[in-house]
Amino acid sequence: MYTVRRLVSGIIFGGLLTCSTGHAEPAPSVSGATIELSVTQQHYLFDLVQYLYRWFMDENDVERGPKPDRNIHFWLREIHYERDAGDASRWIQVYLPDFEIDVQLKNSNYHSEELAITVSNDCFKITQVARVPLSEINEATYAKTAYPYSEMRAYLFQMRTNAVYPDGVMLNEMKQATRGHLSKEPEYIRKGHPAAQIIHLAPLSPVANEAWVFWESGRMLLRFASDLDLTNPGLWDLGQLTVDTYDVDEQVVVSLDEVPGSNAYMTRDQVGRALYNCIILGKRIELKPRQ
Amino acid sequence: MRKFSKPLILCLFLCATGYAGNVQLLPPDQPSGYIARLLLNETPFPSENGWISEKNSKAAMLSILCVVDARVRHIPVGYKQEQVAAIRTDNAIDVITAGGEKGQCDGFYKDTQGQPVMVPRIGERIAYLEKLANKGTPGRFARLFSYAQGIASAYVRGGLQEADRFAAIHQIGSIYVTGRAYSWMTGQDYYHPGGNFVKIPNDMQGLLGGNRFFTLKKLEK
Repeated sequence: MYTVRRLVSGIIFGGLLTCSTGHAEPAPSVSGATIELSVTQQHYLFDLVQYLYRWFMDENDVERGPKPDRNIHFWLREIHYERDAGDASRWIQVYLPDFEIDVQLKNSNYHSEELAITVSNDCFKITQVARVPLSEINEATYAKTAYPYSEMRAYLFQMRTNAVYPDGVMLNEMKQATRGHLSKEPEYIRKGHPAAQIIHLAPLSPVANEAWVFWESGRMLLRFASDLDLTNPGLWDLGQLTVDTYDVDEQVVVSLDEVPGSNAYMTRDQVGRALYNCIILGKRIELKPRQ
Repeated sequence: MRKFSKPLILCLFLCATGYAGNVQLLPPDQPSGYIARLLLNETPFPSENGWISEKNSKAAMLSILCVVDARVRHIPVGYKQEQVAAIRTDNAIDVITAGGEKGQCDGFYKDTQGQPVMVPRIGERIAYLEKLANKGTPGRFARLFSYAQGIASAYVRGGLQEADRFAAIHQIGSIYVTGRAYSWMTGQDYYHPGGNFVKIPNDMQGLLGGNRFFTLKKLEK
């Protein structure tokens, strides 16, 4: 259900934008290297920016971004990591020079004997986002494409409250996985497994394999992330391999300078962003016992 | 003729064929077993976010061990160990557990008796991975376990030779740095250890096994 809805919405938005603007461009190439066509398409890159808009960008980025009558630029190149035998995964780097943001994408395609699953994605998914100054980028190694910034901005504004949530099988699996993790938390145990728990699900992005959940009464953020597509039913059997937890009372500081060297904290800004996505844009769900 | 039970026959068969006990992770109350669990916990396995390859995850393990070692033995000129490792010590376990449960290495801490322990979720993940590593013929999971335990044991014995890929880095962009890595975090840009830590960029192999490594800004003498 989720996949179908996403596919339909992707086709509609992608089709609308491509047809209305007439700016669809061929796969850019440089030095004979052609970048995967699907990654260069307008709706994919706009979805990518929407993810950044929700999870990384702030007002400084928007204010210093391109002027409305200019283009937004995307520089792309394939990254050739050394892979294991039989692994056909691919990686692409997308650099946004207007915002000096670097995004790494992966399209997984390999088999795990131990897990007895084939890890594959239906498209390239974000694995890492970083801020990299333009001065550190070798422009000549990238293929380039661009779209009108005004269309980008209109898309972000139009879609700012648009949200796709897990539903059907995926929602049930997420509920079970969330309940499983909550049941191990001291706060949950201390309260003697209360009758119902309120959780908030952040909207999903078609270009990211992660799902955030805020557990309201336990005041904890859970991040489900994987190399597998979130819609893959096998994902939810992996249990321990998919989840990170953050206690919003104990693991938050204003600046990471307060806890130099530690890998246990997030900043208030990061947590605020996660809570905005989970609570304001998110979907409130009551987890009932044995649900 | 004496009859053997089916489970015993199966056990003998598995032992003879090497299908059981692919990995030999030492107990967590031994320093090398504890360090091995840190390395295994901080690096991705197949299907996990950040997975690239067996070689990449092994490189990440070695680099994490180098961070621990650098915090113990290679404090740069101008820095005090407390500034880099949040503790003054000559012991790697103290460095790993510094700061308590939410300290320098999330989830690795000392209990009220002063024993190094881990939060349950880490123990559960390692146990789950170990079970998979011991399934069937030894594969990537088993090799990653063996590698983690191998370098941890070598390190505790004092046999870890210099293999620090970050040791010779002197400059990142316009910033002069000390070389070596002194911190690692999940490889997303919104994680940063703060202070004088400087991100080692991708083209200097600063992103390994889903982790971002950081060196230190060089201080004036």
